[in-house]
Amino acid sequence: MILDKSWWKYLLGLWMLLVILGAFLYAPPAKGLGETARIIFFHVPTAWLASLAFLISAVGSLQYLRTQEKKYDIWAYSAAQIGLIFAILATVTGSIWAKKIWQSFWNWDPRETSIFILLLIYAAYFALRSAIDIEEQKAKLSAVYSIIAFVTVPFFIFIIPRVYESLHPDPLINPEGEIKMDTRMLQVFINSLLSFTLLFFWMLRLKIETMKIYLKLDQSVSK
Amino acid sequence: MTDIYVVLIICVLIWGGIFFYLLHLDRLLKKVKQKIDFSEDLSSKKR
Repeated sequence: MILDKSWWKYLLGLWMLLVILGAFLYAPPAKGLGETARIIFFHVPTAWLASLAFLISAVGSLQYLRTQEKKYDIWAYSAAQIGLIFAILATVTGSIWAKKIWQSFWNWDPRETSIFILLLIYAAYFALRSAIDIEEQKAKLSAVYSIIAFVTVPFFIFIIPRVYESLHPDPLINPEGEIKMDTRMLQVFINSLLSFTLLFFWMLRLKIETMKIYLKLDQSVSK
Repeated sequence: MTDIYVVLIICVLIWGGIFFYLLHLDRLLKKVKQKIDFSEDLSSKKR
């Protein structure tokens, strides 16, 4: 399997380095937002990966409920954990940008409020898991919770910010359906999205492997 | 040195840190996995 090889990890290292250099040296500053717009190359991929991770967590949970196989619970848990990290990163990068543009780290803008609620929802997922000791019950309940939590994701990420007036710059998926971005910016942006996605799958794989080893060792100790 | 180069250097350093940490973790997991597989083989042979 290609993921077992090492070469793609070094390629990712180089790719991400080129994305960082491109973000600061190749892409021009955006009209109206100036140099601060460069945060788009890091903020949007983290938000995208948070959504993707929560989707994977929900699919894993659904599969667990169908099959009762432990591996799907590991998938769901690992994806939710990495998704929460990326959601925090999206919040932090957005907040840094807000400080520069809106003169305040936090303004309770609809986007900020919705990601805050989303963070709380997924933080509760981990609270739920840590509150239950029986493994099967923990996996079953958290699977149900993860599916319900994911139902709110499109609502908080795509619907609320569009229903209420927001100061947030026009997202790429806008009502006009057109990408308002300079060609060089778009090139860096697409590369950023793809390299971040590859990084996410690497992190997910490492997390799943760690969990599998942990379970194996736990089982051998309890024998 | 302008601010943008400072931010660029910080980003490169953060990425370097994350990348080498993940690489280290990857190698570590491979080693642990091999050790577990080896000890499992050994115990199954003993039986």
